[in-house]
Amino acid sequence: MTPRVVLPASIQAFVEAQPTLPFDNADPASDARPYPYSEYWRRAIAGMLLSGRVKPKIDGAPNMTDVNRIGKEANFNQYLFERTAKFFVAAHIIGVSRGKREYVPGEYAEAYWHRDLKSLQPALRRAFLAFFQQFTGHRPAVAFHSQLDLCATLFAGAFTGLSLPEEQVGPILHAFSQLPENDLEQLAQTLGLTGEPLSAASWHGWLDAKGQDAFVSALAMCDWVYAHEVRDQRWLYFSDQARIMLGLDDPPPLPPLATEFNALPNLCVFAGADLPPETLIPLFRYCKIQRVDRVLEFRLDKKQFTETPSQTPEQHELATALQALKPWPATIESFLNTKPIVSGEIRIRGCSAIVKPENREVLEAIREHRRLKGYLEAGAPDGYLLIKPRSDPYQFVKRCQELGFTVATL
Amino acid sequence: MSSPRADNPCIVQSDRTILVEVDSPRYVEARDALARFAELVKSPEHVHTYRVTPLSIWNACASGLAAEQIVDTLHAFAKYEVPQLIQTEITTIAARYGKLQLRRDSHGLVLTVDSKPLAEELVRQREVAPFLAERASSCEFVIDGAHRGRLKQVLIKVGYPIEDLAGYREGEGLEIALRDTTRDDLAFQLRDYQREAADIFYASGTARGGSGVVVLPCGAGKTIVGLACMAQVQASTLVLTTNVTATRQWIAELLDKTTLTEDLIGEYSSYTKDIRPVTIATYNILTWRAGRDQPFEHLELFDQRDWGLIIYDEVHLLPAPVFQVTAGLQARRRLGLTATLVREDGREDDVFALIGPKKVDVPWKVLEHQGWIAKAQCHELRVPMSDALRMDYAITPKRQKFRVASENPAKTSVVREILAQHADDQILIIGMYVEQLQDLAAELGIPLLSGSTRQQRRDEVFEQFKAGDLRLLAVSKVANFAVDLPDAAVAIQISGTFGSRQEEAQRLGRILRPKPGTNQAYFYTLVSRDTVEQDFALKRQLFLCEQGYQYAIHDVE
Repeated sequence: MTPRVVLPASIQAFVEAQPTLPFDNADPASDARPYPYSEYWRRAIAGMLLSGRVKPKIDGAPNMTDVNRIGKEANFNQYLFERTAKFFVAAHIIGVSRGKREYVPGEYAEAYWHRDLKSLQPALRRAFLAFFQQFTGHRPAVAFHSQLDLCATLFAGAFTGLSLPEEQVGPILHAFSQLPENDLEQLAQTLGLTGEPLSAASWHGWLDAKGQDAFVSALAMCDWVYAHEVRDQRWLYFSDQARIMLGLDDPPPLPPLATEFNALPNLCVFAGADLPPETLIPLFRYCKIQRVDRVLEFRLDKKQFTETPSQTPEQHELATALQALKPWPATIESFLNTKPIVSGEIRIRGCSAIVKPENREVLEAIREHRRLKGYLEAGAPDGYLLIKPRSDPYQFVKRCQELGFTVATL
Repeated sequence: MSSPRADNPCIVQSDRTILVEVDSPRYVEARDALARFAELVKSPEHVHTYRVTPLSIWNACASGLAAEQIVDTLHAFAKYEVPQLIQTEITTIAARYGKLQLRRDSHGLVLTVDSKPLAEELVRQREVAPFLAERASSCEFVIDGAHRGRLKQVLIKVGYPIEDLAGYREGEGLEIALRDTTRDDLAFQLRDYQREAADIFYASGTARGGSGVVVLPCGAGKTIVGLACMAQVQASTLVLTTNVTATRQWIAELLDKTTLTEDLIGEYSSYTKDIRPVTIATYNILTWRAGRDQPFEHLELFDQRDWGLIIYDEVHLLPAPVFQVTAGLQARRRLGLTATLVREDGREDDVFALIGPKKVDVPWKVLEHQGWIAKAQCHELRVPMSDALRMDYAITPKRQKFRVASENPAKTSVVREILAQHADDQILIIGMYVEQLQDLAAELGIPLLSGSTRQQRRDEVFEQFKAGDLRLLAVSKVANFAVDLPDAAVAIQISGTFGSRQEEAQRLGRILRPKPGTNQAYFYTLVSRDTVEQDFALKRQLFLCEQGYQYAIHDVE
């Protein structure tokens, strides 16, 4: 159980007056001590978003048709994908390139991939406030200046090791926010919070009924609260990662990183989820995703490989990602030499109709005819005539019929 | 409970797969431990994949392993923390084994359910209810003996395995022993893995053994395992094979390596219908019928003797009607033999439910290292197309492109080059398209065996090849399975059945019998470059790649 700090007396009295249940976050059966935001599935979603296979909508949420497609391929829950993608965007870990309509690394991407929790803390607070703003609807003020993240920190600190009945969290939070500012300041000091000075007044006006719901929803979107069920009632408690990201607890030691990387002759690639993004993203982009797990499994698939649009026509990107595994098995070497079908140069010209005369004699007759040649333009494929883009093909047909040609549709 | 260690070889994933790093010093130890409760899914170089399935857990439970031992083993070899979910799942799944037991008592065949709620749940299952009509008590059901197989099938599908302790009919007794010397006076004894496979199958005659599948590479002596099982069971035996050539090879092996005499062995095929204490039949004859609406009249063979053992050779090819009959034969011992438990129709589950669980699966490379099968070099040769053929290929409808590419005439000169390189070896040229093989055989002046070749002619040619009188032989897919050509050291595949993985493996298998000297075999597959044939070739090779074989790819100029 997380050790409880000695709370100021007034806060202690407030906490004791609430319906609570002791809760042990460190329950080994709950898998509750992962390193925050470093789970393999979260890194995989980041990789999938940055691979370009999922496009963003205007609001930054992922296109669910793409999510559905990739979710089916990887046997991955598409709703968890959607929720996590929204979280990454809200935390600026992943950004959206408005011009190209694609996901790009965000301001905090480096910190995320390198598990730099210190740098991630402001990103997470920003995400919480962004979700709160979104769920609370239109307000005259901006939630980013509301210090509600500090409110969440104090609330989590006051209820350390305790869970609250889900339907009462909002009212309890509201009552908590109304406590005398001096008491709250004292609590902040007890918890060792040394950030900007507390201004409880900035919370007022936000935590009405709708704001209370938005607050709890925003906590859930950041995975800061989880629920457990006791006596047919759901009880919410602050997660370990919430406490760490809010500065209430120290992070656990970094677990061993999964950095396996193998390319096998059966065209499988095993890649640990903790490999750097430069390695993982091309794999998500060009390969079929067989398994999302601690060690990700990919399969080199010709269809996927050749149909993926690429900035680098020779698709060196994947070869570069696999460079560390050289010498490659012969099957992989051969696979990587497959020519992509979506590369090279194409040229397009417009025309309003294409005409196929019966034979070369008829073709020449039309081309030389003073009433018809004006419709034509140069550069037609051998045996064909092109009607100029601005000419009316029906007029050309009419003229031909007047001159005695039989016209049929191609 | 052990803590994860960086030098441990196993990575336990949350979907119940286990990746095992072959280069780890603890690999062998881990492999042996995992074999008890996990199925080997694929075994390419570097990383082998195992999967813990409900079936594999129940198999482990059947062999006396407890859920805690399984979880402890995972902890002992895990490189990272074992996901909590996996530990819970293993415990939950294992707890289901033994809840249902099938026994024989004064009522006949009785299914005992360990709790009343579970009994009520089962009688409410739509698929299961018809088999549980007669209730002996709140937790006991009298089962019609004819439904024993179907009941096992449906209960496995709803997640409750039956512990079948009803035993087997012993069948008509037959004295049979393995000989110490063959009829040609050569010393003969079982190899360790063959003896072990037979022991595991028979399980000292208890109800815990007696039905299952033995998976061994081609050339590893699956027939010998069959003979060893027969020697343990000591009862009349029906052996089902894929073709007449295989039938006769079984007969030859029985006469050569067991104490059985000619008068005790019968062949049941389109040529003769001889039913003896040991009868070898083909799948074709069993599934023959006069018309689509007519019954399979030869299926009666299953009831024409009191068989104590039925052996299904090349069980991955078991046809659907034989599956149906097998569902009614659960009181008889059943042994499946195969090199590739890959069914292109995906009915591996039915093999499990009706023949029995996989009892033994030895990776190909393990036997290669031990010298029991030949070392094989696999080469894919990419042959260019002439400009004219390339144009034909381009305008051919999609469905026919594969054939155009497969019959590329430029392959002939490549075959000649390979023949020149292996001037002293016996060589098989294998193809799918008979016309292509006919042209090639005519050009090279070599005999060709195809589906239309009479059996007598096939036997003669195979004999000449085995005797070394014939160095080159062209064969269509009639020689894909169960044809024993021990001295063939080189196979040249000029065309194949699209992306069939098992065909590729079986064709390689034709040349894997141990060879004197370097014990080296060569497998060449010729494909037309930049065509669909090249794509299919990649798929064909997957099973062998997963068994640890590597293809060297060469561009032919």
